Formats: sequence, structure tokens, C-alpha cells
Amino acid sequence: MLERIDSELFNDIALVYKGLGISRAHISADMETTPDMLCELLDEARPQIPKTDVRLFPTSFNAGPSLRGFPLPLTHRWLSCERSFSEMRPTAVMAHLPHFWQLEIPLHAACRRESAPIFFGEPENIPVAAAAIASASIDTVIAGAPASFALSSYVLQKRLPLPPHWILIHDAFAASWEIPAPLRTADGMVFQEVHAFPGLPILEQCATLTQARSAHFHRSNSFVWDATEKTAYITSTGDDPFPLYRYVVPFTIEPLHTCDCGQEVVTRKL
Amino acid sequence: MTQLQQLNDLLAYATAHGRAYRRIYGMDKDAPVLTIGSFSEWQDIPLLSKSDLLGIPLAERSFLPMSEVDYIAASSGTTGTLPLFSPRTHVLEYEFRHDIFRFSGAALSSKLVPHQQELFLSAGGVPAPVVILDPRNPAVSVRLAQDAGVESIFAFLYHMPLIIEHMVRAGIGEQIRFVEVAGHTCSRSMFDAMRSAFPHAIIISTYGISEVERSPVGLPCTAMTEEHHEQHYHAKPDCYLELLDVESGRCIAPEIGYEGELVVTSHTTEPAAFPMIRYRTGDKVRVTDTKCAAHGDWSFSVLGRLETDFIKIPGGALNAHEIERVLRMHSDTVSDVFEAHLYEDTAADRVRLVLHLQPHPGADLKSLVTEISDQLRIGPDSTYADRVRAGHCSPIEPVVLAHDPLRKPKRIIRH
Repeated sequence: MLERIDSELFNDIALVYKGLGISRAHISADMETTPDMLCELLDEARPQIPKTDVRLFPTSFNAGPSLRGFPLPLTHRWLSCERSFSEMRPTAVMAHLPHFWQLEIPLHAACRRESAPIFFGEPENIPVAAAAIASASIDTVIAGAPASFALSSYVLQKRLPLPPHWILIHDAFAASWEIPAPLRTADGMVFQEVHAFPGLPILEQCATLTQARSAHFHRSNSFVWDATEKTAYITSTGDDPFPLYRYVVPFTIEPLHTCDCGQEVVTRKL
Repeated sequence: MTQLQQLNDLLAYATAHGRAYRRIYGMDKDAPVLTIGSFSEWQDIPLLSKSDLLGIPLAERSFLPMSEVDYIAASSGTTGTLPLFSPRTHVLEYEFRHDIFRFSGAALSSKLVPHQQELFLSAGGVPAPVVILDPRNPAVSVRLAQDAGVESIFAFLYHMPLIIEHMVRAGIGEQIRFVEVAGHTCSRSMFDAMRSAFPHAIIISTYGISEVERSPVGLPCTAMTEEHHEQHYHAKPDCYLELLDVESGRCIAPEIGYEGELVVTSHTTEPAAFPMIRYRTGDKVRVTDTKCAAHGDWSFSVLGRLETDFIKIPGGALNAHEIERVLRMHSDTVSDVFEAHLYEDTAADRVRLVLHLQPHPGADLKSLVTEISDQLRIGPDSTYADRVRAGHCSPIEPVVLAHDPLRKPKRIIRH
């Protein structure tokens, strides 16, 4: 099912790894990169990772000691977010994201492309977020899915209008990908993305898929997906400073049908 | 163009194009734009405060359509009022740093506009990433900063204890070459902690007002040093500062040693989302020089927030800056970081002062607060101890300060 990784892609990635000083013992065509293995590879590559032209994203949604910095180009664009914005046409966007996710700068760039100002909120400070919704023309919120529950219920409890547009980020490792009940029925658009770790979307939605408010997605085309009955792997296709090779995704995916947009619709198979 | 012409142009522009200013100044729709011909006429222009702005929706306040607003800033709301959300354009505000340090690498930032910090680095010719400090997850943020090889820090002062703790633990303090803090006045002990953690860094402080678009409005005259940790600021070139007598509310000439509330006007040649005219900052400052040798205009140091750092008590006023001065006289026993909790018994016309302190191990707090009471001036000729003897104040009660790095500090808290 899905794509197979061709030898050319493997050779390209092996060459990058070699340049990063990763030992050959770690590199083979059938290797599996688990999250722990990724940390080992990043530790090995650490002295070689350029300091000035990459941005580091945390390798986990959990701010624990095993977290490492995953490099993406300094000019890296959050394309799925940009696509969602182009559908929503936001007036003003509120970032309701933990700061350690390091998403503010690419998010600001996405806002500029859509000519929308951004307000950087803090998920822990819900009253200020609600005040921004009430008085700063915020009509679009981008939040981690768990934080969106607390924010939306607070906003409704205070009888404030719920912003019509939302982008919700799910942790690939989360047991469930729920969205708050008020957002399931609200007018406006609710885009969902699944990130392998903050800043690395692997599943995303088009405007058609948002209508069902369900956990149906398109695969990110930044990766080749190699899925078996039990496991799915992603491999970077771009010119990344640290390409992922057969990175183990904590679920596998099941194709459902072809979307109106022409892409395949998939869902998570636990 | 003279400063008066600039102010006149700003006023004319603001009353021609800004609905908010016409509303604030009570101008009807046919009223001509406001102009001035002298500084005396300028001083007749009404002063603005945060409460004037809170009542006007952001979209109405903005001089630009929302599509041209870059980001929305929020004032802290530390004093318990609602935050004020203010529109901002993309104008870079940090060029002055290039005169102080040659940036060539990544930075750690706790400021809430990280993209501005990264644009600043990029505009200097060396694109480099900004790692965002998450105060709730400082270890992770510092880990990422370590991997990014940060050489500079732009941070709110109250985040520095966290940054210092984790950077020292990670062993990367020595690689830091530039530190800029903002948000509060820097105590001597805080400066010493930064100097010890970052021995090779230039350390500066800027003075910003979250409601003012061209913030920071006060730039450091020199870097902070062991001899001069108290930062002196001069106005940014496109800001006009005035000094207001706190008692009379009238403008006073900025003579050395004079104290008063700082009033800010920011005038810019760029399109501004909200040019600020005669804004009362709520900060009490002291004039340190009438003509700064390096920067021309008058310079000042910040004494504290008028609303929270200067509290009237029977027979005088409790002054946070004064408490800090007295604590510095006991630096072998206690740090100058404190929280003063003031309990007022209005019926008895008496106050109770509970002083939360950071004593060094083995300090005798009881005798320390007796000495503090004798040295703490609450008026030109009286000390706290005098007011205790007069029966208007209870003896100071010492408590060990529990530091919460996530909470913006207040130095005097009324109950």
C-alpha cells in the first residue's frame, strides 16, 4: 500500500546523514527510525547541524528531558497552515500555543501572506485570550487540540462569540484526536492537523474535509508514506537539513476514498 | 524639521485621519484638525491614559486597515485592569542594538514578538534563529537554545532568574555575549546574578511601554556595569518625552534630580497603526542628565510604577525604590529583591507592613527589620520607625519571600 521508498531517496538521505557525521552503522535501507532512535541520530549529528540557517523544533509534545531540537530550514514555511488561511481569509489570528513548540515565527509568516495580524496568546492565560477574542477582532484561533477545549468552553461560559475559524493541532501520539463539541457544530471552518511533533504536520485537511469535523485527513505530501498493517513510516521528500528516514508513526493509516479535491482520504487505524 | 514642527504635523495627522483622537478630544465631525504654534500650546493638548484607550475598539483605534497591521500587542494588566490590545506595524524597533554589539548568531527571547527579534537579526545581515523561551518549560527552551548555539538573550527581567538557572546548569552562560532586559527596574542583586552567569556579556536594559507602538521608547545611554547597574535612558529619536509633576499634574522642566511621571509621544515617518500623543505612562522617573553627552536629549532612570510602587501611608509614603536602597545597605545579609505587603486599617489610621525578603543563610531577620525600620525614609524628615513610635504603623514583620518565576513581580501590594 502507498508509496515505496526508492533507492535513490535512500541514497540521498544516507548522503546527508553521512555529512552530518552519523555513523554508517545507523544507516541502512530497512532501518526504522523510532522517536528514541531519532534522538540518538540528532545527538550524533549535533556538532554538524548548522547553527544559523535552521530553526529547531522540539521532537516531542511533551517537554521532558528526552526532547531534542529537530532542524528545519530557517525559511521553512508552514504550508498546511497557509493553505487553511487561504480558505478562511482571517481578519486577525490568535496563536494559543505553548511557546516551547516554537511555532510563532512560521505562524507569523503565514499570517503575513494572508495579510492578517497575529496576537500571541498563552494557553495558560485563558482570560486574556478571551479578552482578545472580545476586543481585538480575533476571528481565527490556532491551538493545540487539548487547549481548545478549555478555551472554547470559557468563551461560551462568558457568553462571548466563539471565533468562527480554528486550526487545531493534534499530537500524533495522542490516544484520541477529539475536537470540542461547540466546534463540531459551529459555523465557520475548523481545520485539523496531526503533527509528528510540533512544527511537523503529517496529516492535514482540505476545505472539503473540514465540513465533516471528523478525523479524516490527507497525507502530507512532504513525506513518502510506507504503511503496513501495523505500522506506518514517513520519509522526507524535501531538501531538509535533517531528513527523516522511515520515521515510525505511532499508528497506521487506512485509505477511505478520494476527496473532491482529488487527494486520497485516510483515517487512523490503531 | 524642528521638534515643534514634527509634533504639530503629528497632531494634525492624528486629528485628520484618526477617528480615535477626534473622539478623545471631543471634536465634532466638522471641526478642523488641531495644530499648535508653540510648546505652550502643545501642553494644552489633553493627556492620554490607558483608560481613555480601553473604551475604543481596536479596529477604530487603528489608523491602518487590519490587513496592514502586523501583530496585536497586549499590555500586561498587572494592576488588575483589562489588558489593552494595540495594533502594531512591521517597523523594526531594535536598530540601536547594532551600535552596541555585532550580532552573528542565534538568540533566546522571552519577548512576545519573536518574529521582530528574528527580523532584527536578519536585517543586520546575519540571518539567525530566535529560540522562544517558554517560562513554563524553561529547561526545554534552554536545551533548544543550547543546540542553536545562542549568543544573545532578549528577555523580560522577571524571566532572568529562570534563564540564569537553566543556562548555568547547561553550562552555556559563558557563550552569551549580549543580554537585553526590559519590563522592570533592575535591582543590584539581579544585575550581579546576570553578571555572574554571563561574565562575557554586554548587559543593557531598555525602557518600553506596551501601549506605545514605537516601544522601547527609552534606550540605554551606556551598558550596565558593576559601578552603574541603574540604567539611564534617553528617548528614542522618534519619541518626545515630557515630565509631569505628580502632585500638580503640570509639565515641569527636566532638571537633574527632578522626579515626575513620564509622558510619551511617539511620532514616526512610517505609517503608524496608532501614533501615541501625550500618553501618561504611569511610571515615575528621575532626571539624571539634562543633555546626555552621547545622545543629546535629557536622560532618566525609572523609579517605579506610580500606582503600585509609591503608596501613601500616615505621615508619608512607602516607596519601593527606597526599600530597595535600604536593603542594598544590608547586602551581606539579604538581597534587594522583596515584596512589601501593606495592610491598611483605615478605622485605626494605622498600617501593618509585612516585608517578604530573600535573606542569606543565617541572617537574623528580627534585628534586620529593626535596622530597616530605622533607615527606611517615608518622608523628607521621617523614617518608618518614627511612624511606629507615633502609633501609625506596626513594626515591620519579616517573612521569607517565596519566588514564583511565572508571576510578574509587584514590589508593594496593598491589602
